[in-house]
Amino acid sequence: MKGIRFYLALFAARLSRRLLRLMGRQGSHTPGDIARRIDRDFLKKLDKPRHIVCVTGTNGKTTVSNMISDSLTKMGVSHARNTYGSNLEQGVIVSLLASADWLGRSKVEYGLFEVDEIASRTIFPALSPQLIAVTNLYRDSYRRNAHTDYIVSFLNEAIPESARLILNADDLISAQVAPKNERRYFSLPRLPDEPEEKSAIINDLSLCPVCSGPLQFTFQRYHHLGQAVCDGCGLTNPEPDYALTDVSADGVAILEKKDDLAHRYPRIGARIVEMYNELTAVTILRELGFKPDAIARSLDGVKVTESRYKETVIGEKRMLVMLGKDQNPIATTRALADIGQLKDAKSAAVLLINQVVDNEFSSENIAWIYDVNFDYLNQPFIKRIGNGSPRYKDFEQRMLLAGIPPEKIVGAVDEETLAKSIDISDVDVIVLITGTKNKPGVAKAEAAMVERLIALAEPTAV
Amino acid sequence: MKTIEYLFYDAGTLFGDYGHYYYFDQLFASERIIRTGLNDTPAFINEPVDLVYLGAMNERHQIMAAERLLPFRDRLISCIENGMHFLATCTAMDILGQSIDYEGKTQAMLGLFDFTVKFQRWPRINQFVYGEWNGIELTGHKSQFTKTTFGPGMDDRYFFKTKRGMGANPTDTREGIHYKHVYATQCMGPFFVINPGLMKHILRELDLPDDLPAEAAAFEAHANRLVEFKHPRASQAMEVS
Repeated sequence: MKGIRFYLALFAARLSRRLLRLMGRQGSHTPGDIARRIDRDFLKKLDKPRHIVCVTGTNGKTTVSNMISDSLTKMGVSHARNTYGSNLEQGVIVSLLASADWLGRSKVEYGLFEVDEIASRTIFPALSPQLIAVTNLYRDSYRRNAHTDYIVSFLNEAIPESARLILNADDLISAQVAPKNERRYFSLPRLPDEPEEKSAIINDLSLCPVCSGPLQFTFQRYHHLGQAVCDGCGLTNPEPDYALTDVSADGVAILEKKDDLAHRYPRIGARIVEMYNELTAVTILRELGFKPDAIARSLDGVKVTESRYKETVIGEKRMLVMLGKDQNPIATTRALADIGQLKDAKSAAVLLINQVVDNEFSSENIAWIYDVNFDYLNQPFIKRIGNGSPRYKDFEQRMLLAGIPPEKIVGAVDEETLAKSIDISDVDVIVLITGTKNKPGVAKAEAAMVERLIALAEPTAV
Repeated sequence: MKTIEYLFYDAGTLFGDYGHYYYFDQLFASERIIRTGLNDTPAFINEPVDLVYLGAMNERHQIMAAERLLPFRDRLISCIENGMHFLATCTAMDILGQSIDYEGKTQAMLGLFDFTVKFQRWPRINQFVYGEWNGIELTGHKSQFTKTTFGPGMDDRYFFKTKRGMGANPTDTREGIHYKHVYATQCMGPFFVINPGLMKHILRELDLPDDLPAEAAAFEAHANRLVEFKHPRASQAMEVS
């Protein structure tokens, strides 16, 4: 029995969503909030699709969910999806309502939800997903996510015993989540000629997650990702059920342990993080029972979302927009590592505009920048590194400690001012490292940079 | 030559405290640096050490660190009484108190100072901190699950009083520990890196040159932070999330 509160909440949420959309807003959060305020158990009571899949983890959950959603769409499978990045309970409610009739009855077969790790404590029990994927677990926002033990504690409490887990065998933190649950592991074994990145500052697994003994890495991809064994208790990476074993220009091969058969899929991205995302997505789709051929066809033409990575050529200059996420030292370090390996750039300017997420008169916690490998930018081809935020002097201090020559460091009080003022005359690549929270600031900076590039590209009027 | 020990460096890596290690590597480049892991025996037990640094760690490692150090408690007290510098940041400070209550389960800590810590996993408290000690203006950030209760023994052993942001708990502006050469704070981030005036003071106490890496930028950044933290409209927007 759902009760009168439920139907009242349903009506109010629907009405508010309609009004918000009439006002030109997405309404991806507020209607869910209204429903929850009226009936705390609204999500639990709401009718759900027959198959529920959740994707959580520190990095990659949006991209993985996008890939699966694209694939399901191409395969003609109806599904609900919290598309707009609202990965809290409110966003899940809105996406379920969007795919339900006026009485809240689901009209779709699948529910695919990206879930914030902390929000999982209420979402997972309410949804009872059959399949939960954890992409990886790293340290994230210090203000909210504290450390990986903290996140694991939430997941362990939230994950229903009945859920089958899809876990990253290369990540000994997330691989330990909910140990009693049925699980499948995916892995990206070391690629031919793949270098180790032992220089990353952050290693969330310098000690064994089980016994805190010394952990020895036999292969350290980056941070704590790779293959390791504990000297104390012998803990090591689990055997993968799905392993991405071959990468070529046009595709990847994923070997399945159950029948020792490898299947080929289109290659969606060139970077390691993109391979992990594709591997996770394929593993989920396979565990949902879709055939390899159908998955491969459905992934053909799928691209990494532009908000994650975008490349624009204007005149003789190239602008890259890369997601560093807000106050996230891992995502930012990964972006800096990618920039440091830009083989085709003769000279580059890097603009960090991914850290202003606080209110105008609040102060930003700058602890995270001390966990970022700014030293990856200390290369001759990188001519300028700028930060546009009220804390730009803190960034300057941090970059100097990383050995960046002072003449390369540029600071401005906000993103747009930085984009308008940084010298780009002698560089052929401009990289904007963005976050997701301060979209207006990022948009202004990007627009200002595009304007400058267009002006530089146009022949001077005589 | 001075001897500097990074105590439990492999556990004390949270919340920007990696920054302390590479900062101290530069600051103490001419000194002897010992890196002691969580599974190693601390160096200060067997030999003179001039400065010990203990960084922020998770709750599991707090308990282990306390267990590792408890057998050497008397030696640690003796070192501190004899003037050894002991710096601790964020959750590392909690280890020096009497106990930590982890949501109902009380764990004994080293008992070097008269305070107890109560840990509650939710909500998380986020604050910026501004205060002054010995004529030096200090800035810091807090993101924590804990509230600390100072006993009478802390009346003359707290570090500084906050002028903005909470101290030991939301109703107590007394922050951290200062006793002899112990400097400890529950502020996170590389507290000694972002407070150059304090770091210079400590260097002078150690009879070392007080030049800092990136000193000019450190003072400019600190000055900018002070302006913001002192601003009457600066609010603790992320007080509790």
